[in-house]
This record gives sequence, C-alpha cells and structure tokens, in this order.
Amino acid sequence: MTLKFTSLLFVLLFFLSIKAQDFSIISLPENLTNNANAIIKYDEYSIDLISQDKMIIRHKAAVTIFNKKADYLAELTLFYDKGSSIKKVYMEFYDATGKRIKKVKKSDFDDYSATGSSTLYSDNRVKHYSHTAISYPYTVYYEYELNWRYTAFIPSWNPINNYNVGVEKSSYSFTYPPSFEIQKIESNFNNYSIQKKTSSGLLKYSISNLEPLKYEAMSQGLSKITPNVKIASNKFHLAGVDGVANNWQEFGKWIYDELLVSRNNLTSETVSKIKKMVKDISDPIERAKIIYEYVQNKTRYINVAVGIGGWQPMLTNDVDRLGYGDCKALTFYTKSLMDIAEVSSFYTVVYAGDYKKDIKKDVVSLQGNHVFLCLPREKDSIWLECTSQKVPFGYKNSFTDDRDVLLISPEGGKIIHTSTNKPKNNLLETTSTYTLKENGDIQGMASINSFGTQYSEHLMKFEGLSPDDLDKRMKNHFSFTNNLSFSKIEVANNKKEQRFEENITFSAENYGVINPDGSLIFNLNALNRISHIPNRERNRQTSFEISRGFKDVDVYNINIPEDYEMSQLPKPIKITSLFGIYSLSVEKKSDTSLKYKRSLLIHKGNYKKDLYEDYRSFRKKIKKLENIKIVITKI
Amino acid sequence: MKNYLLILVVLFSSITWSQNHKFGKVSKAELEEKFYPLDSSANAAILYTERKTNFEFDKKKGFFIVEKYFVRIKIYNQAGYEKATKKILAYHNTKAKESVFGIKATTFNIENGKIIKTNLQKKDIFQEEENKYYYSYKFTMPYLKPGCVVEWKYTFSTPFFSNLNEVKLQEDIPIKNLNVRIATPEYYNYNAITKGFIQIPMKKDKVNRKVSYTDIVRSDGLGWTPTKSESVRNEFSYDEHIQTIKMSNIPAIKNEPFAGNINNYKSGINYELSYIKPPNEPLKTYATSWEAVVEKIYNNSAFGEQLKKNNHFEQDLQNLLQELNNTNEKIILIYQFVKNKIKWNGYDSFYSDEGVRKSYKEGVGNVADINLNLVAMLQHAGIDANPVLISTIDNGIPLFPTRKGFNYVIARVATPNGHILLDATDKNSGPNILPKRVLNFRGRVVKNNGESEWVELFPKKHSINKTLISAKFNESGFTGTSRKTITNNYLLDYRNAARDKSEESLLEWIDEKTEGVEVINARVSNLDNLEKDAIETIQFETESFYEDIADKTYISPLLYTQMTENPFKSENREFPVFFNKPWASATIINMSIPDIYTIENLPESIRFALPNEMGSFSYSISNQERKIEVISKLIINIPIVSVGHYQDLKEFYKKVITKQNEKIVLIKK
Repeated sequence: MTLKFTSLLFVLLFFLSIKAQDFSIISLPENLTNNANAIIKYDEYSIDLISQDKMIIRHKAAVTIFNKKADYLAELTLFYDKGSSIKKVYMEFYDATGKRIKKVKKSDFDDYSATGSSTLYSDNRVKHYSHTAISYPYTVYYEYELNWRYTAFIPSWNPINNYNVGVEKSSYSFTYPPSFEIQKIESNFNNYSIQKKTSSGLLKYSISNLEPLKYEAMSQGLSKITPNVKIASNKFHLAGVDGVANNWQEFGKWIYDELLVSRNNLTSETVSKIKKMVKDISDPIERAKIIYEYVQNKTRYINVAVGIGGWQPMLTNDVDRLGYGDCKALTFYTKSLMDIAEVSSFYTVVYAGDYKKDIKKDVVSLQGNHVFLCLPREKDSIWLECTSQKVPFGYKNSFTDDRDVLLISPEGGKIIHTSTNKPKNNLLETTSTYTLKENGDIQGMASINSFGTQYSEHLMKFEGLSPDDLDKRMKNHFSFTNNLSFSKIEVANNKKEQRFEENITFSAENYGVINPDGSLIFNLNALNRISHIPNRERNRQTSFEISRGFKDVDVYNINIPEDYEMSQLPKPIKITSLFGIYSLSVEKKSDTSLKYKRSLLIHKGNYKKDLYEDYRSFRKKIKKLENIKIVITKI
Repeated sequence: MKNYLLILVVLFSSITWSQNHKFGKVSKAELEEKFYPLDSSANAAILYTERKTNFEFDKKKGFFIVEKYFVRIKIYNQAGYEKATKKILAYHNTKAKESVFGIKATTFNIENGKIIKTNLQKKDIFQEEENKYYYSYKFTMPYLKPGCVVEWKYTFSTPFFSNLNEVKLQEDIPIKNLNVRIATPEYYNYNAITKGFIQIPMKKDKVNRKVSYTDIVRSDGLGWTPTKSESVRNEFSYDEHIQTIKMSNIPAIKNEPFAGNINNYKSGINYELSYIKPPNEPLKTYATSWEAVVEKIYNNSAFGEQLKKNNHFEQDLQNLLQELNNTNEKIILIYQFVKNKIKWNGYDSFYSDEGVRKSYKEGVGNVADINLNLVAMLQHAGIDANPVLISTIDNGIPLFPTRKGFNYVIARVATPNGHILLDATDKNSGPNILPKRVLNFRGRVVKNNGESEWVELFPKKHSINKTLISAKFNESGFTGTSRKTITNNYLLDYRNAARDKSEESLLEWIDEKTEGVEVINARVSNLDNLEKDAIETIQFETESFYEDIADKTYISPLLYTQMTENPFKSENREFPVFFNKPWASATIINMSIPDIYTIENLPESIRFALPNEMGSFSYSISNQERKIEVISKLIINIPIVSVGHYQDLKEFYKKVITKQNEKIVLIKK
C-alpha cells in the first residue's frame, strides 16, 4: 500500500517537474550540441511488470531538433494489436524560445495497418504522427502508455540509439513482483558513468551528459559499443499462454509445447506421400535433401500474421495446401516433413541479417527475428534456410552464419553457435580469354564461379532473371567496361557443388584507347576491378571490423594483334598486409599473347581505430594496381 | 520485314482467339507453354484479361456502376510469382461506399499430364482498412509452381460516377488477349481519352435497353374507400453506348533511365465524367474543357476565394516592402518571405486545406496554402501574379480536361521582361528554378476572372556544372585545386543535398562524390546566398588518373570529371529521354607537367553534335610550355529527346566517353 502511494507521489512530483521544464534552446549544454542533429533532453522509460500477463510501459521524452536530419526523432510510431493497447499518447511541440506551438492528441494520430511491403496481411496496427518543422531548432515532448498482455520480451534500455544525437539524461526503471526471478544483462558499461539502483522488485538505471557519436565506416554498430540493458522475467505470457522458464532448456520446451506442437495437422495422405518419397533411402542426409528440395519447389515466402499467428507458425496443412508461409510456417512445415522422413531436425530462432547479432545467452526471453532449421550433427551441423527457393542444401548463409542461435526441441532449448566460411572459401574465380583488336575493341569469353558469401551475392544478382534483365544486370555488374555487349550469357545455380556459374561471351568497343601515335593502351583487368576504398575518417573514434573475408582469383589469357610490340610488362607484385594479401603477375606467353594473374585475399578481423588509415592505404594500392595498363605499338 | 511481322501477328491472333476464355477453362497447351512466344524475357504474361462495365439500376439507389474483372495469368518462373498477388482497393465516405464481391480464384498446375486445380479459399482472402477512405481486399494465389496459370475474377461496384476506373491496356508483362466492354447509359456522358504508343481498336455501338421495376403505391382512403396498397409496374428505356476493345499481343513496357513517369507511356484509356443528364431533369456538367475545369476549380472556395484574402498579411506586407519601388525586388522579397513564413507539410493539392489565413498564422500548409498565399501577397503589392495549375511528374501528364489532371499549384508573375514561375514550397528553389516534381511539360495559368491558358514549365536556361581545375603533375600523382560553379536546377539539387549539413558532414559528402581523389580541404561558398551561384572549391591530391608503362606515362586528361559510364545501355527504347531541362557540363583543366618529361602526344581536339543542334560536345586541348589546357563541354539544349533520336543520343554518349578516355602521353627524359 505504502509502495503504491509513494510511487504515485513520485509520479506527481515528476509531472510537476516536467511542467516547469525549460524547452528553450538557451539551456542546452554546448558539449552535447557539437555535431549533433538533435539533443535528447530526457528520455524516461518506466516499465511495470504488474503480473505474468500484464505489463505497463510508460515513456516520456523531450528532444530538441536542430535540423531536418533529426526530424525522425519527432515522429511517433506506436504499434498495437489484440494483445497490446495504447492507453494514452500525447505530444507537444515547442519553438526555440520554449513557447508551445502545438498539442497533439490521440485522435490527431493517423491510424493504419502495419502491413509492410513484404507482408500480405497482418492484424497489427499503427498509430503514427509526424510533424512539419516550421523552423529549427524546435523541441518535441511526448509521453505514452502501453498496456501489454505479453511479457515474454521486455523493452530494453539503449540510451544511445542514434548517431549524431547528444543525450542530456536517459533513465530506465523496471518494477516487478518480488516473487518473480529477473535476469538481466548489462553490456558495455565500462567507460560510462551509470547510476544504478536495485532493490526488491525494482531496477533503475540512469545516465547523463552523453556527447553525440558519429557514424564511422566499418564500425561495429551502436549496440556493440554503447551501454545497454536487457531484462527478462522467468514468468511470462505470450499468445494467450502463461509460461515459466528459468533457463533456455525450459524456455525452449515451453515454445515447443505451447506454440509449435499443436500446429502440425498434416493429413495422412501427405504423410504417406512423404514416406513414399524417401522409402528406399537409408542415408538420413539424402532423405533430408529430398525433403528440402521438395519444400523449395513447393513453397514461397509470404508473410501472413493473423491473431496469435504473429507468434505461432501457420498450420502445416495450410502450408501444404497453399504453398506459402512466413519463416515460422515454412520452417515448421519442413521440420514436420523431416519428422515423417525420420530425419532429426530443430526449429531454430536467430537474429538474421548480414550484421551478426547473437541471441543473448544471459537473458532467457523471446529474442530473434527469424527462424530456420538445424539438422544436428556431431561436428558441423547442417543449416537449412526454408524461405529461399534458391540456396543449396546446407549452404552457410551470411544471413545466419557465425552467431548464437536458439535450438528448440521437444526436450527443450539450447544455445549454440552457427558455423561460417573461412575467407578463402568466400571465393570468386574468374578465368577469361580475350583478344584485343587493332581498333581497340576486345572480344572474348569468361567463366566466373562463385562460392561462399560470393555465391549468394551472385545468386541474388543473376538467378531467375529473364534474358533481358540478365543482360542489363551483367552490363551494370561490369560497369567499368563501357560499350559492352554479350552474345552469350549462361548462368547456373549449381546447388550440388554450392557454386554459382556464369559463362559469358562478350565484346566491348573502344576498350583499348588509341594514342595519337597509333599505339594502343589498355587495362589488363577487363572483368573484375576491386576498387572500393572505404570512406576517409579524419578523426576516427571507434575500432573497425571486416566481418567476413573473401578471396578473388582472376586468370586472363590475353591476345593482342599481330605485328604489335608489347611495352615492358609490370614486374610481379605481392603485397602482404595485416588485412590480406594481394598478388599480381603478368607473363608474356608469345609475341601475341600474355597471361595476367591476380589474386586478393581479405582477412576477417577486428582492428584498432589507428589501423584504419593503413587499411585504406592497402585498398588504395590495390585500386591503383587494378588499373594497371600496358601499351602495344605497331612494329 | 514489317509485312512479315504483320503476318506473324495476324497468325498469332487467329490462333490465340481459338482459346477458351471462360473462367476455369485453362488448357493443357497454356500450362505446358515454357516461355512467352513473342517475348522470351517475360517472367509472366497475361493470357487473357476481361473487363465488363455496366450501369445497373436499383429503384432505391438509382444507377450505379458495376465492373466485372477476370484475368488469367501465366507464370513462367519464380520471378513471376509476384504477379500472383492481388490487391483491390475500394473507397468509401460517410455517405456511400464502393464494394467488392464474388472473388473467385484458382491456380492451375499440370502434374503427370493431369490438370490440377487449387481454389483460393474464402479464409485466405484478407480485408483491411488502409486508411480513413480506403479499404482493400488482398490475396495471394495458392500452390504456385513455375509454369502454372492463375485466374481470378471479381465484381466491383461503385456509386461514384466519376470513379469509372482506367482501362489498362498495357502492363509491365505482355498481354496476350484483352477484351474490354464499357457500357454507359445515355444519361452519363464520359470523355474517353487514350494514352500510350499502341493503336487502340475501339468499336462503338448503341443499343436500346429497358428497365422495369415495381413500386408499391399507397392510396389513401377517400370517404368510404379503404386505404390500400397496390403495386405499380414502372418501365423506362434508354440508349446504352457501348465501347468494345479487343486486342492481342500487347508488348510489356519496361523501365529505362531518364524515363520520367513510365505510367505516362503505358497504353490505356481514362474516363472523365463529362455530364449527367437524367430524364426530365436539367443537364449537370462536370468537366468538358480545360477552361471549364479551371473555372470550376477557380470557383471553389478553397481556391479563388483564398486569393482575395489579404487582411492576415496586410501589416507584414507593408513592413516588408516599405517604400520599395522596384518591382523585381518586390517579387523576390515577397517570394523569400513566403518561403520562410510557411513550411510545406508534404501534401500536394491545388485546394487550400485549412485556408490561407490559418496556414499563414501557423506557418505550415499544403502546396496551395503556400503558393496561393504567395499569389495573393504579390497581387496585393500590385504585381501581375496568377496561380498556375500543375500536374506533378508522379501525377502524370494531364491528357484531357479533368480535375485529376492537376494536383499542384505554383505562381506566375508577368513582367515586361517575360514570365517568372515561382514555387515557395522548396526553400532552395528560385525564380524560374522549380523543384523537379513540378517540371512536367505544361501548366495552366488562371487569370483573375477564372479564364486560363497553357504555360510551358521546362526551364529555358541551361543548368550548368562547370569545373575549373588547376593541377600539378609529378611522378607520384596530382595535386591541385578545383572550383566548380553550379547553376539553376543543378544548384537546386545541390542545395537540397548540401544545405543543413554540418561542416564535417559536408566535407564527407564532397569526399564521397569526388571519386578517385583524396579531398584535403573543401569549401562551398554562396550555399545560403540564394541570389548567387554556389561555388565548390576543393583542394585535392591523387595517385590515380595516370599510368607509368615502360618509359612512358599516360594521363587521363579530365581526371575525376571524366564520364565513365554510358547511362543508355538498352539497344532500343520505346519512350523519350526525359532530361526535364536543358543542361551543360563543362571542365576546364590547366595541368602543369614537370620538366623531367617531354610531352609526346596529346589527343586531338574535336567537336560533334546531335542532329538539329539538340546537343553538342566539344573537346579541345593545347600545350604551352608544359602547361596543358583541356576544355571539355557537353551541352544538351532540349529537355526531352524523342524516341526517334534515341540511337543518336546513345551513339553521341558513346563518342563522348571514348573521346574523354583518350590519354596524354609523356616520356621521361
């Protein structure tokens, strides 16, 4: 009772203090405004876990916005659905002198469906308000209150969530019934002064005076370098079901029992069809390949999120009937077929994306944004992406590689780490024979094979296109060679070898440049010039990362017209640096032919900020060498 | 060749018409087809599309429009799957509502020589509120496989007579057969206007139709006769106008660089309600001519009346102009004042939303709020100013008299030295320098009495990027400075990108766009001074743009300003190249060569042009005592290059790139 009263008093006092707050720009601390697009004057999250199925989220913030790049911070987007409601929302806008210019009520908000472009239907909805800036700077103040019936994930605290935004004060408070067990993980607290208060049923953090951070190329991302707190409760509620989990084993079991197992309703007809398909095959891997191929041919990715379907897979029989579903539906469907084929497989939850993000081990809660399938093996488990019709069986996708994921089985959950390719296996091999003609035109053919991450890049670019589109894509791919035309383009997705194959016959007018004296100058590397140099950072503050390495190997047999003399050929070059190895050699084979060989290996790694210029200069040297030319002169 | 093609087309049409175009009657031949015979690049093709529009009569509601749609799509590969998702939008307001019903859909596959049908189930159709005025039905077809055929049909009905949907005759996939029938009662008159490059064979017919219905009429008891109800049979007849279009083998339309709005070139017919003339009632005109359309807009209180309001700015205007006499100065002052006074909320419209007064007071408004205030202020200051109604690029080209043919309004001032167009929604725009969205052929200037006439919108003056570089070559590369002057519409783009950037991020931005050099220092002058052209000054160094080969050194004369990629890659093109302004790009380089080299060779100077002086390229190079001067000038004199000149333009670009790629040859002494 007393607790309730004091917290009420606290809220009241707090409310008064806001009203007295000064929203004029005079009161802004200067160290926070340097290079800032906005300043968060304060940002207050308070989350009350009232009971297993009730959580109240209150958020109040005031942000001063200096220019249009930060206008997004004055927009408010709130999602709601059947299990979560917007109790209250309110905004105010102030001009530079601190005079209020506008009040925005809940009824002023736009209300629309949260269906995005990749979603066919979702019953989630959005309330949204965006303001037209009349002049800068201005200040937005907003507060809202959300009531959630699901508690399996609790909003985390990320006081530094934006680049080029200063933070005067950010705080986070979390209350919970003392009988609940709370897990928490505090990341990147070093180097920051954070006030922390814990007592029975209460967790509080606050931080102040944070200078704006600037985005730097190849940086690891804010969540890996700035402080954040993530919380989970052992008692929770989701999709209409209560749950208790003190560890991943229990959490995984709950997901399996409550969200998955009842979703399998395949008909006996389908069961016998699948059984027949794998009847005489003894090797489980071979059986799995047949199932995976069957699913790839039958289904496509369509997101439909209805009711608790947002959390649960569609019924397997619906997937079977419709031939579509989202990642949950397609993965669980594949798993159910694997079960019929007596292949052991696990529904697996992951944070998917090229950016590697772990399921955080130390907080047992609903995490991740994607599911896929694991076929467990002693060593080197097999991973199956069930939403793609294109990728091969067991392909190590950069979408899900090298990170902690949650495996779910009838016995429970388990965190394991997915495997990844070595840089040398992210390989692009180009071999070509081309001929330079007296008028500067070239013509030739090339075969390009890609593996690993380069496989998926080429797959995404070139697979499944009409001849017209393929021609356009290829021209853009080789955009440094002008006037290019192809008389043949063949591409093949060699799933068996996990290799993408391109075979082209090409010609390019005026590739070599005729000098005023009649000699011809041309670039030896006609097909694969690695010329990217990361942006210059004049005063780098953060370390940098090469998250995946790669290797490019090019071998060209180049013919020149008869009765021409080659200029002196470049000497073999090998550059070995911390970041990789570049080598190049040009060899004369006859009076009219030469062989160009070039390879580049880039290592994966995390590097100190001081090495950034070294990396740039390595890439600059490469760019220069990629443009190496020779001259041929008529005898 | 042409005749041969014609025969082919005729042959194809006779074959295709023998197919069964009834819903559900997909043939094995259709399912077994591996690619579209006339365009193997198609991922999907519309085998048949049907649209039947009728007006039906209900004794309570009167006439309403009923449209029946049916489409059969062949999907050749997975990339074509996106064509198997359908969304149908319907409008409603507080008074009436459009409806969609009878959705039926089936996927057809062929398995072991047998046709397998999979029907779309009701529960797999989703209804959704899109926003306050629109709701939608959405579905995606079940059980897709490469090679499958999908079909759907539905009925759409609307009580809004001005919402007679566009007849789409071309899509981004080919259409094999198309059958459209539009029947309208004599009471409803529509203007049918066609667009696109395809000849549309339209057949017109007239039939007489009868409508009969029963009414219950109650006669009151008179004297001793009791009250009774009796049913009365009513009947009336009218002429029905029928348009039918049957077409075959319509090619797909594909996007290209500098396309503008590709919808402008897609073949189709738009219907604008012209007038309604119910029996025994006076004729009600909707829109019949541009004059009438404009007059109607002008007479709406959200347009014409707004121009007459001046109390709200009276005092500000006086303070602003004071004793000023020069008209040009007045125009600029008022224009800049409005730009600063009212900020654009992002909404297009030629009608003021909450009134010019309120938007003036609050400092926010839609396009009309801002530009009608601008016109009113100019007029009140005694300047000859008028609003100009416009269709933005996104809204397409207004082809026929309709209010939908406009969605935007700007201002025009008449001066003795010509006309000045002004748009105050973009703070970086200037007199006759309009935002890109506005540069769409022509607009309609509205006089004070509501009369109107066309006015050209494309700028007359060239937008120019001119770069002066002074560079020093030494054995390890170049150091130098460059000074780039940016004018007119290029400057508008530049300011929109560069203004509001901090000094640091401005430097980074210049770094990024100046490829191949290390920017040591950069400065932009006149970024905020709208009366002057902006000048970007860069100090740079680079190890690129030269090559040591054996004893010779080869220099790319234009350094980082060299054009390296031809944007025109397609062999053919079906619609014009839309530059939307005349423009020029020039580089003048002074390069000094150290005396350890002798200059062996320079590229030759040259000039060549596009036909009819549509554009030209000149390149000159000279050497005076180890100082090499290079001048490269590319000029395009017209905002739009017609399809007929596409090959000329492509070839022209190719020659420019080849010329700019030629090298200076040095020999080390």
